[in-house]
Amino acid sequence: MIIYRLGKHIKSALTGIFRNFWMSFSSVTAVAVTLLLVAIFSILSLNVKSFMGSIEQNISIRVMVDNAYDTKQIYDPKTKKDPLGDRIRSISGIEKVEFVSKDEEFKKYVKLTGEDNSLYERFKNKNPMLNVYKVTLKEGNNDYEKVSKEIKKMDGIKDVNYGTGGIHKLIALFNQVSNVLIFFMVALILLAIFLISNTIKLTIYNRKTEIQIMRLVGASNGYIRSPFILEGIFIGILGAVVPTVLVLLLYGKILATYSNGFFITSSLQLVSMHDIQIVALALFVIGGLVGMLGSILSVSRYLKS
Amino acid sequence: MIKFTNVTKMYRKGRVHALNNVSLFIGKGEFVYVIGPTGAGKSTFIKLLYREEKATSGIVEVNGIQVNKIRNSRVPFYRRQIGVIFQDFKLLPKKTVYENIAFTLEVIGKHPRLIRKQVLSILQLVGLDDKAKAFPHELSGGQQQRVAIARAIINNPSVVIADEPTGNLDPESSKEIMNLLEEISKRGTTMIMVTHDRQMVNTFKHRTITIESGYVSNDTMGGGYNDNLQTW
Repeated sequence: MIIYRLGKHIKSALTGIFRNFWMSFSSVTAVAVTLLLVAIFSILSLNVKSFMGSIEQNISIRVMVDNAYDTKQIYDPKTKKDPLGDRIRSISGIEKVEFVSKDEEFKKYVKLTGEDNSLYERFKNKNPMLNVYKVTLKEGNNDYEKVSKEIKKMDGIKDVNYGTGGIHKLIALFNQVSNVLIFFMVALILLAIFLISNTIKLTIYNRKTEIQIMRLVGASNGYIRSPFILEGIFIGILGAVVPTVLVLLLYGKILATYSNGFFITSSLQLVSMHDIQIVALALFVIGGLVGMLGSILSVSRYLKS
Repeated sequence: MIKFTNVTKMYRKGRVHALNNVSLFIGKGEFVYVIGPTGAGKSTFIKLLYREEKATSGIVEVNGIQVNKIRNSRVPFYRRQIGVIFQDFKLLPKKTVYENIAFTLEVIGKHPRLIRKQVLSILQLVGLDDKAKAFPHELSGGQQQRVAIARAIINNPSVVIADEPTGNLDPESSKEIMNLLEEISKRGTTMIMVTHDRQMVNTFKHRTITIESGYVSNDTMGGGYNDNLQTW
């Protein structure tokens, strides 16, 4: 009986879509465009988030040791003793503490500036660099400031810094971009609800007498509502097909092109196809829900009168 | 059984009094005409009966149920006890005679097998068993109204409300419809018929309730029109 009824409702919903073909078509198109934008925004947002994650992972705290500080307290490659390093390690939330001697630091600097080794040789004894501890925080711990302050309180520390101002600004910017994207997504979804509810309103108008008679002969509100709600869901799901196909194909292409990493460094990876498949699935769910909401809105307004 | 106790209906926040303190009783199986000039409150009277409107004050009782107290979600189930017939038939133009009647049973969730049986027997009752596959536009006005009557009574309602059922019909068809309604009434169904048709009221004599400017101005058994009182 239930199956029989559902069958009737589905049939009636499909009839509704085909009888108002152009209106349904424009709704489906509108939903498709909206969902495509939603998909693009969410993929951008996902990638921005993933970039942010990998950038944060690459930030480490640089602890510079005062040159005047007792050399016995710092790491000794021969005895492997490292009192200062151990003190830093005892702070909670720290993944790794790595010592870099000022010699190594200077070599790195010379290499970075592109000068040849003669610079290093010339200044080897007047090394302007400091001994450094590179501190990496555990995953999920982003409280660089707190850890830095704690280290700074220790003896023999000349300075502590993490990242450069630029990186923090970049992360803040990414966060903002991500928020703006979410705002647009919500606005677009509301627009889609509005569009679908308008289509359903038109179908209802076309079936006014039918609804009137249904009410008169004692059809429950649920019975009257069902085909319209199904119609909304169908429109929403149909609207999700094109954007899903487009997104899966295009993203696959982009992934293939940038398979060796993105932008300057290979540590910035695009999110995988698996995540995009989840986005695609979400598009169908959003489409269906949007359609359902849109039609519930217009049907209830109609049934009240 | 229909009972109105001090029923008042106001529209537009009390600015329009459609019914004023109406009290009356209609017994089971009675055939009652409701007459009166346009805008007197006849439509409001029947809308209160099938709960299209709610009384502003007073009690409307149908078969022991206080209609005002029915929750909105229960209204559909209440309506299944009441058949309604209109002047303009209100048939679905794209459905056949059979489908129009079956529709009533479908929407209340009857089993498809029972539907077929019931529809065919009701078509026989209204004398349209040969028109099951016809569309409304292929039928005469009288035939269309008979389909509407079949639809109204297929659930065996205890009350049938007819809102000017003969208003669009020629005298001959009107008589046929009246005969049919009387037949239904004789089976124990309460019949409430709003009409403007003087000749009908005077030919088929029944209790006649006159509503004027929201009041019951006259209520006579087997009365018919009184040309001195009812000049409209």
